[in-house]
Amino acid sequence: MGVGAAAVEAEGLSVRLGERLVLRDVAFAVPAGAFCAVVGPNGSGKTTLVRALYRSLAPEAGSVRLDGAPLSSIPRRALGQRVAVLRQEPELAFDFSVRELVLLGRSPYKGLLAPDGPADARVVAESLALADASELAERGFLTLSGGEKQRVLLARALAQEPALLLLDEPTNHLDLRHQLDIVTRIRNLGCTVVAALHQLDLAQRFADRVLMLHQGRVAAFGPPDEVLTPARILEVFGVRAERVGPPDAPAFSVRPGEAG
Amino acid sequence: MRLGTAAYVGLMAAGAGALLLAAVFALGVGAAELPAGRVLDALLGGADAVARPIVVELRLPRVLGAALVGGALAVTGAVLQAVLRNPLADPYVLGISSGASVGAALAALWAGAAVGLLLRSGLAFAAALISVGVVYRVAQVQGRLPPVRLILAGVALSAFATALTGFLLFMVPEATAVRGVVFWLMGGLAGVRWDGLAWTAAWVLPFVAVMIGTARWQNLLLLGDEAALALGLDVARARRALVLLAALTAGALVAFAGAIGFVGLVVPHALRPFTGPEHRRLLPATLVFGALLLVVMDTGARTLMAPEELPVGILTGLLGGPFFLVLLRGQRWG
Repeated sequence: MGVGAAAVEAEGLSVRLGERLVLRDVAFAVPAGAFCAVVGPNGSGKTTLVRALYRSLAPEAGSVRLDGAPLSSIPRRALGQRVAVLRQEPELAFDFSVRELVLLGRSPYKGLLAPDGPADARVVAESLALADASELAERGFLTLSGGEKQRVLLARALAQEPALLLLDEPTNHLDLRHQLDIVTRIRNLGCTVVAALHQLDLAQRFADRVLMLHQGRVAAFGPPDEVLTPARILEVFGVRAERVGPPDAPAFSVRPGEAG
Repeated sequence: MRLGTAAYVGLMAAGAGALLLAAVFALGVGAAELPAGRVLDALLGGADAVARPIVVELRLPRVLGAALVGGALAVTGAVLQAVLRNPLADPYVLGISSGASVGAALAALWAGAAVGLLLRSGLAFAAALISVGVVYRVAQVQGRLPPVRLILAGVALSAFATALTGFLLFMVPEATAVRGVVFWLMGGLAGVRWDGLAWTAAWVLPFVAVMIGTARWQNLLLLGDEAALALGLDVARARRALVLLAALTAGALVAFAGAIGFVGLVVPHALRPFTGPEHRRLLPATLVFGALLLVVMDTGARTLMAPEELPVGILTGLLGGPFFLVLLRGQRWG
């Protein structure tokens, strides 16, 4: 299966959600194959940004480009062949088997009446293996634990053979080991990743670029060392952060602080 | 208890076989009891002067009508459940059936009990479309159609339409007309003839085919709007198209056989444990077993209290209601 990599950039991106302008004039550029972490406090616009990147929300102003092509010019199904999303799924009311669910990842490549062929079965098997979910294939999705569900949803996203993988706080409900495991896996895929993350530790450790949002605007964008400075973390998150731990597994020790 | 491919084919074959047997049996029972041999002979063009008109002119259109209505109602129910991501959805919940009933009651008020099928179906159909339009308009926010709003709007409209139908029936002067329309509101296939059947089948069968053909869309809608979007589905357009299709189908069915309840709700639920929610497997099974269910129910409706005839909707409700409660008790979804 082919997981490609696409460059993604935004320019003057503003998104309105109801009455509120949630993103204002956001600009950034992520080169093909890079891992970009989007961080910021609750309500800073992380989820909205991710939704704008797969055109779930249309921008009020500005644009997003995928390998130079405006996102708005790509038909919905073609977009599903290039961009996949991993997020916290709402509960399903119907119990698909894991294999059926991952096979739905092939949908963007299928006309309404096209049958699923051996090539699709192969991609599904490879995606399950990459997500370490092969042994779950015959289980019902609703019987899985939180960590297992997230691996299966990753497999479904991989079955789309995406060039850009979007993550919307995919590790929120996972324990520490599963968080580390799933982000490591995604890091090693080779496709471009834009990930809204809550944990600054993960951003510091895995990202090539960090986009810090504050009240819908870009507070900083660049390599983790330049963006995740104690001064900026204090300003945006309102906590005093201190970098601790070894260089290959950096972490932040935080305590309450006043911005300013 | 999910079936493998071979077992699924077996289930479909068993359903089709049972449907065929039930049909032959249904053609034989009634005021004139006919053994299977005479039924088959009449069907195959035999010269039996008694059996042939009874079987071919009276009972065959009725049995085919029951199969058509049952199969199409069950498929419509399954489609609406996927579109609304709600296991309780069916043409009633959306207000389609009760809306169509208003049209039918109007027809009765206007033209009396002997109202022709064309006027009746035309008005029922128009009323079904208006109801869907109203429900859709009310439920829509910012270009999206949240399932919960859709169901709330449907329930409210349904209550209003039912009351309006009752009022209209109150205004019908002739007692016979009231009886006729009541019968028809509960749902019934009495008096089904070839012309009405042909008209309805020509209408409904293509819609059913399209609903089965769009099973891939329905699978994606089951995952939720954001997931479906990310998997390349134009969610708003797909949902609009499927709701419209379901409304057109349900409107035509109500015009033909009245508002028969519970088939759209019960059949998909009874089958999902065996087929799973994958609609390419579920829909063909609902078509066959929905047809089987209504052929059996309708045969019961016209023979249990013979020579009186029960509206078949009373039977499906009496059996479907408790059955559904038992299913609900045993299932895990919340």
